[in-house]
Amino acid sequence: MTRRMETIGDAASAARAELSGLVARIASGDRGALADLYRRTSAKLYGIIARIVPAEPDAAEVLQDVYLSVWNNAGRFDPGRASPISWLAVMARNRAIDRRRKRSLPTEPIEAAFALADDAPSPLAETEAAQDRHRLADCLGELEPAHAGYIRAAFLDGDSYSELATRDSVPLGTMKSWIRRALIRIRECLER
Amino acid sequence: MSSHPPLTPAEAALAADFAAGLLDDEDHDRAARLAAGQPAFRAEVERWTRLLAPMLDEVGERTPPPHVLPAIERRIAPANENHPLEARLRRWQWFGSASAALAAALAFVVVTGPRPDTTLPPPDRPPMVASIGGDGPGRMVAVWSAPERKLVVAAAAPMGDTPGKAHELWLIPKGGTPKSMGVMPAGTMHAVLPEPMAEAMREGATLAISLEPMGGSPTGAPTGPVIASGTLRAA
Repeated sequence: MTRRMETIGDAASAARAELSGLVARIASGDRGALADLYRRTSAKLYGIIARIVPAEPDAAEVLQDVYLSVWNNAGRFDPGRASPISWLAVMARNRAIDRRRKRSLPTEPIEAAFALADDAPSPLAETEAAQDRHRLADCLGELEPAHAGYIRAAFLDGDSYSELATRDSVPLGTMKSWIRRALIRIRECLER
Repeated sequence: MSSHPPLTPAEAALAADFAAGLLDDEDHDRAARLAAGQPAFRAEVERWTRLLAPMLDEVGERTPPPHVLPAIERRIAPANENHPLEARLRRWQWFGSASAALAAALAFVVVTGPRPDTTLPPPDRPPMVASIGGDGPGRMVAVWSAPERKLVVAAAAPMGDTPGKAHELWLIPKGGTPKSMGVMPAGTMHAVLPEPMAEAMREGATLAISLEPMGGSPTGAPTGPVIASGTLRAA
């Protein structure tokens, strides 16, 4: 059992190191590395984007923007502070939300900040990333199921307060206070 | 690092809503602007994003349409070697919507830069460019023509205003101290630099923008946070 866990952990660290290596090559202007990164990560990113922006032409455009942004900002990625797949996933998700909100400005600040935060925690091994996932799932599980569902619908599907309120026929103010309280509880749960 | 003024409870709530993806169009835009201009707000958004991001792991994969990778490869294809400025321009166009201003800035180098024979700039003084950006969405592009000592700085993506603050441009020679190039105007900045400063506009020098009191730094050195910077390189 232990041995198997180690093997999985090793494979995950190797994948992470490989992706970090690709990003470093992209930063030096290696176009082949961008194509490699695309082949290895685009299905994951497209899955994230298509949930938020269902129309295929729009989702494809967001995906293209994400990789062009990687091409331009690869030098800002710090592998010691974020895993490459988290960096890419957050970038894809933020771009998709922006497209859904019809913003015209690019969203570099947030994804860049995600990789560059001064107070970023030390690098997470993949096993720690899995722990994060489980802890978040546990904390969401402590909420009212409907409230956990709202947070997932917002983060993963891009549903806004007013969309959620309309969907469930709940007054907007009520929806806001439910979700805000749920967010605070999640943070308390994760940070305790 | 700069000391951040603490967020109001309303700002903290807005940061959480923004990170979670809950805001409607207008509030989303407002929060995006705050994230670009206010380090404390940005830090709060990051904190929430980190807490919630593990949710993304569970999203299933989906095969993108086959035309996306070729489209990306076309966009990053090396430009014709004879037109390096065009190549740089193509890359910068992705930085934002204000590519018209950028094109105008570059057009000045295209027009005044390479000329036949006698008017060619000496080989060690080709046109130079710097892409000046930071954690925010804003990005300026500076184009420098040494023979005429002309500097043009245009927005590739708007920097956004910070109320009560001016954006001051600094030249930091390699290994040197910052020299003020003045407060940035609202639109495109055109300047003819005095000789000593022009001398320092060398490859590897840094152009940086700091937040200063209205009217510029009272001390002659940067007093506020640097919100964007970039290195001068041959165009």
